Amino acid sequence: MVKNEELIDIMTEDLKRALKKPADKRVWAMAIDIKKCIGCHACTTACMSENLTPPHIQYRPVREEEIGTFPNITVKFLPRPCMQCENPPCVTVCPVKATYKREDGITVIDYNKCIGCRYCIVACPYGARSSDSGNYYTGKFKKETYEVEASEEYGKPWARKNHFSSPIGNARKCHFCIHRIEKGTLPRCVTTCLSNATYFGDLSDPDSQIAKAVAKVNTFKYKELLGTKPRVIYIT
Amino acid sequence: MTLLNMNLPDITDIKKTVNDIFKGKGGVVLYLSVIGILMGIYAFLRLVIEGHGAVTNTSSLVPWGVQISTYVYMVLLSTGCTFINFFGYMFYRKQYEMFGTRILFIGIFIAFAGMGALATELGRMDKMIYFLLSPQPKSPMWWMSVWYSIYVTLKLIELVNHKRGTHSDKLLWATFIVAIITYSNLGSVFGIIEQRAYYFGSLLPIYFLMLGFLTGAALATIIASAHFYKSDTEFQKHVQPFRNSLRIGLGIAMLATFWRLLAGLYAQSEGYEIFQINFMYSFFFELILSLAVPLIITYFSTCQRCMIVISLFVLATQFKTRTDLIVGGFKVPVFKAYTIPDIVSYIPSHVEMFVVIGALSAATFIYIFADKIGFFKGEEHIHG
Repeated sequence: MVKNEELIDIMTEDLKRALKKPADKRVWAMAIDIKKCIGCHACTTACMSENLTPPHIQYRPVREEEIGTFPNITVKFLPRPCMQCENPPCVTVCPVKATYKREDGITVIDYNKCIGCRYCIVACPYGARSSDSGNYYTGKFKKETYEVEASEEYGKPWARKNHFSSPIGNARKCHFCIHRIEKGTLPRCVTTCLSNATYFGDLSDPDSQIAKAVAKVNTFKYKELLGTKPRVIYIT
Repeated sequence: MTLLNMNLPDITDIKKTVNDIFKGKGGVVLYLSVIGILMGIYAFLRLVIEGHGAVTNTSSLVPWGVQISTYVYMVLLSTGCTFINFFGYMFYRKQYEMFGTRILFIGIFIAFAGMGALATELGRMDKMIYFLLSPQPKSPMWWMSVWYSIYVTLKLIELVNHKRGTHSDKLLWATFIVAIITYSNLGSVFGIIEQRAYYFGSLLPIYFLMLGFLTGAALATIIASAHFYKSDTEFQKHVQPFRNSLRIGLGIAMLATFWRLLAGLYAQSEGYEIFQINFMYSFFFELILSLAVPLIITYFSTCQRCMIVISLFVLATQFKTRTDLIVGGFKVPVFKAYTIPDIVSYIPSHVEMFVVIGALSAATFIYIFADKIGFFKGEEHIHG
């Protein structure tokens, strides 16, 4: 049994091992143990600060669900990042190929190409995509530094200075923090999770923590019947 | 005036019309459309200066709002004009011919105005070039741009032919077929989205064509009724194709709306609860008030004024139902986090409404102005 404090270190080693493989041999995946999730929303908040998302855009919201009737009642939490589907509906509908799957299976958005038609948002069955309409937390006249600071999404600086600068006007989504994983660091939601409920790594590596975590227990994939083949696996 | 063999209005006529408009002799509808265009310009400037997010009420939960529904409404109206033009020439040539240029003309400019409304809804209009540089043939939206370009080109060629006093049945057929492909393709933009129960299904592309025919018939009826407003004998001689088209349009739209509603009510999968949530509205407003009532009235009231009122009513209710169709797809969210309501509501902002008014007014103004300068006179002389 791996202790919680060791888990991040082990997964980081898994990640570095995976990065040595060719990109098309990696199968990046995320597993979320919903028994462990305490619904603290730390992952949501950390993601927002990592990717500097504007109001109403959360790459990883957490659904709260009440199960049963009083007094036999319990609450379950379901964090929802982008499912990084193997068969993503958002990719085929994009009229300009601004959204596509990388060799390692992560679906990304090319902010330079995206025309902001929002068809991908309509097509995503998980509601995992958002539209950056150019809103700021502090209103349209006084913008705080953190609102116009450049995020490092996709490994490039993207500053939301005005509504002519991407990613304003574009679709946005979770990308498993590829700017971090390419540097050998785990996604921010994984490192922030208080109860270590989130696993990340290369599913094709049988020695990785994620492969072990999803192999031994009950798992499900969200809306699996749609045939999208999500790469986010929930452990129950 | 003749230009490239086209019979066009004289410069003096245009100058005289412009002078008349400035002197207050343009007519109420024309001045209202000018006010509408100014409202549209104001909305466009607000969108450009302040940005989309600051002035519209669309969001990640309701990504497509009233601007998209206006686009759908207007381009379907344009398709309807193409259908009426085709069936008019095929089955009622003598009675219809004198309206051919008018219906073609309004169909083209309605399509352009609809495209304008769509452009204002795009997050990054400046990147439209990627439709050419980075095409995605798997996307129905990309095909829409292709077919739309072909459709508008064919319509323009047809209009030029009309102004040259020639008419080609081959071109008529080509435009008709391309219109079917283009706007069933538009239906497929929505119909292929399995995740949105309110859209999904093979009926939607066909449904769009039926609704297009209905709105086209209503608009053509207004044009014909207004043209013979002062001559009842002439009106009764020419009105038959338009009245028949309107009745057929209402009938097929009722049929399609009924079966779409019923299929939705029977479905049990996630998201289909939207049909039950909307049931009362869909039944009483969309089916009874918007379609059945006007259909019945057409059998009792046949005067010019009645036909104009019925057709305007059909156009107005169809605009409302089109908006409800587009926005209805987002009413039940696909993911319900604790910050997301069970039923998502959307009320357009005043800027969004001004875009709608601007687009409708632009098409109205161009048609009335063309009529006043005598753009359609040659056509009436040739065929009438």
